[in-house]
Amino acid sequence: MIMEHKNEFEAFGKQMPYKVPEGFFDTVTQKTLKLAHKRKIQSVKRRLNFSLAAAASIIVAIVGGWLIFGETPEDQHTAISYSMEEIDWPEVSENPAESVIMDSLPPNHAESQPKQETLPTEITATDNPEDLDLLLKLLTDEELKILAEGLLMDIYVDDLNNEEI
Amino acid sequence: LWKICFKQYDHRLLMNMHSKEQEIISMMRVSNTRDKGFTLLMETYKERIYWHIRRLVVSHEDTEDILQETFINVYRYAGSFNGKSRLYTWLYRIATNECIRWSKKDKRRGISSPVIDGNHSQEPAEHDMESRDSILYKFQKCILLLPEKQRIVFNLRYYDELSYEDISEITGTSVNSLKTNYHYACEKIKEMLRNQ
Repeated sequence: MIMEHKNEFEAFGKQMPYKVPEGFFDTVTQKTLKLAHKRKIQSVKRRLNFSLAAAASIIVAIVGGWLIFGETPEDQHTAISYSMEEIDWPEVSENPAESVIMDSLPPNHAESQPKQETLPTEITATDNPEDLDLLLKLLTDEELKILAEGLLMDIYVDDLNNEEI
Repeated sequence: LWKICFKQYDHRLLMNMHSKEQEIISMMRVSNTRDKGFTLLMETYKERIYWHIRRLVVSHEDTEDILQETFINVYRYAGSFNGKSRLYTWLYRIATNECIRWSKKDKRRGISSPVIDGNHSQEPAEHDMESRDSILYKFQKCILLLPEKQRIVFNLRYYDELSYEDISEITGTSVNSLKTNYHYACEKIKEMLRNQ
């Protein structure tokens, strides 16, 4: 069957009707070799660039990750304590009711309020209970409270001193 | 006696070819001798591969590009050639795949190509042919009208005189299927020539 087909096309032969530019086959080898070298260099450059880009990305990711997540608990604690120090905390009354009232007042309320009387720097001790009652009556609630706190502190310090002994 | 002598000669030729292929491959695998091996490879096969490509894509410029791409691929991947197939069948395979890739690329750009669909618009141009060879022109016209697979098989069998086993290695198709394709291609060409 194949031989039959070959004979049938014998008239056409194996020649091709196409033309090839003169000297093409003499130069194509060197041209292709040059192109192959060029491609090789390009490929190496591309690989190098890719490696550099990958390395840079990894470094950026590591540094970024360290900056975001890399702080130790101690560092965080220090940072928080620093920030606590830096914050200018407003003075809040220990009395919750008073605090609520203070919050609800206008900002210039404190300035308009008459200044409270300062606590007597020294309260003279007396052995007379009537004098003591009178003195306590004279004191305002605030002064009394501060006095009580002061006494408590003294006791605490005394207790500590006793413990040390 | 003549047959025995011819067989002996053919066998020697084949052995020489095998040893030359081995030499080329071993040269291309070593970086110091790669260029020398590549030059030897091109000098041995450039014309065969050129005409195989030219028959499929027609234009000389495209053929030159594909030929260069084919050999550059060989230069790059010579180290991965396992030696299970013959070197020239590997070359033909790369060249055929490059032609198919080229035609697909052209198809995406809206240019139909003879490799893919046998479009009439891509038949050989008059200026590219020798006008005196009107018979050859007619014959080529008929081949270009064949479907892609039949055209590849016909060219490899008729012009390159490759065995079906070699064509099977190149195209990845079974021998029986190749025989059928070749037969249909011949029948179609004969019919087209009769109708002209």
